[in-house]
Amino acid sequence: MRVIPSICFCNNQVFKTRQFYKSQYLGDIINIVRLFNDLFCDEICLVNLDGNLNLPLIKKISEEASMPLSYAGSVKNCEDIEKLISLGVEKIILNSIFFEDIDEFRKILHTFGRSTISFSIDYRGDSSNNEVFYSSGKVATQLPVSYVIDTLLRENILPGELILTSIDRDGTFSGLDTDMYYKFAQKINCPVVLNCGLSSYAEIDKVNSLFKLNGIIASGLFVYASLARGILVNYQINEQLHHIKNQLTFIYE
Amino acid sequence: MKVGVIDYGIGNVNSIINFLNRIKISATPINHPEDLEKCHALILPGVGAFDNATNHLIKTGFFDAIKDYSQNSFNKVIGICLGMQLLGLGSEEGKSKGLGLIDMCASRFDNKQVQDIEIPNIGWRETFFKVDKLALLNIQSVPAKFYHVHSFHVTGVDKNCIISNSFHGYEFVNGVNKGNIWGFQFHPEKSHFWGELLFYLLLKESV
Repeated sequence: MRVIPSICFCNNQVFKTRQFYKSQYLGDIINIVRLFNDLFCDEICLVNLDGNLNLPLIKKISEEASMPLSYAGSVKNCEDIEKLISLGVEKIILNSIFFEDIDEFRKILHTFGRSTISFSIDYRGDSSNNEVFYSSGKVATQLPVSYVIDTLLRENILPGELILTSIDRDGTFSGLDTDMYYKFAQKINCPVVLNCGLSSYAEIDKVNSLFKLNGIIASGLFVYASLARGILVNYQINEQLHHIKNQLTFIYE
Repeated sequence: MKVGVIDYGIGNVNSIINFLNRIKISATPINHPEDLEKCHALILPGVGAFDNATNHLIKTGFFDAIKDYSQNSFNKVIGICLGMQLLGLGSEEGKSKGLGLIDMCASRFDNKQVQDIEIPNIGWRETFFKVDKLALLNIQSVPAKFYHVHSFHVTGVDKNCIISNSFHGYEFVNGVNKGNIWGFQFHPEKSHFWGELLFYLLLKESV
């Protein structure tokens, strides 16, 4: 299971969000990406709050990262995706385009293949009563998550990865919405990732042992020292990897 | 110029170049087929759908240029992810022909063979190498892990050309080698120091 820190940024500034609203400035994006890179992160999820692609910044971020990058925000068409991939982004996370232009969504999947495209379903509510939103949670669709998933299956436009994003849990440390995963994971055979709400490192171990979840996306746990919200970039320590790296890198350094 | 990364509009050229430069291997993007002759090794990246990539290769003139380049056994050709699949004869994903440098085809992960297999295969997978050149990556206490993201994998490869396998529902080939041609289904450039070491072992004589 991949454990993926998400980085919400505006220009070169990283923010922690709470229920999709900017709540705290965390620091410079290049520094934060560099720190996660040094901690052998499984992957980074970049969430661009800018309203435009900001390609020069993506290029700089990619220069720092020897780990996979996924990217969300302001992607309108195939040309945007082509540019992002050429700069070093592996996976594009789509959201609004599904609701605004489903033909373009289909065209993107066909052009780039499923494995390049993730789709985030942003919802409020719980597994039994929920509503899907798009455009960074600003536009309500009056549709439940089940309807969106049924549409993906019916139209044969399943993405390479489905991200279930609980807006209500964002920045709350209230735990992942595993009920939502449990409800829908059986229906689809693509990797499912839960986003928002991760409370602790212990929860990662618990979820990993109980579910066949492909990944977890979170931010608070990886940027705060404790629930008091003092800023400290952190990640699960892999002592063995650090040891091996120190033993091996002398070869080419 | 030593290592060229082919820029044909499909692939993460920038991240491969930065990754190689970080381990002191001089790499540069190649935008025109005639620039290939200046390189001792070339990397063919690839992200996306098979036919889209072959169309781009043909349109940019690289399709025939890579074939010609590979004829010289001193020139190393390394395909990554979709770039590895392009080295083969074709793919179930499309109708276009591949470069045909290694006899193999790309097939979709078979969810009839294993019922609940998730497609695509996304994540870090343990990999063991059967070739002396990369043996340093086989550390018993900590298996080498590489980042995979793909829905297709190569099949029908001569067993002498298989250099590594991994597992996703069943065992599949994730590394091939035939003479000066190398292919990796995973992304070494996104696999932290495992990728650094792999590139260094492969390209050190080109540095």
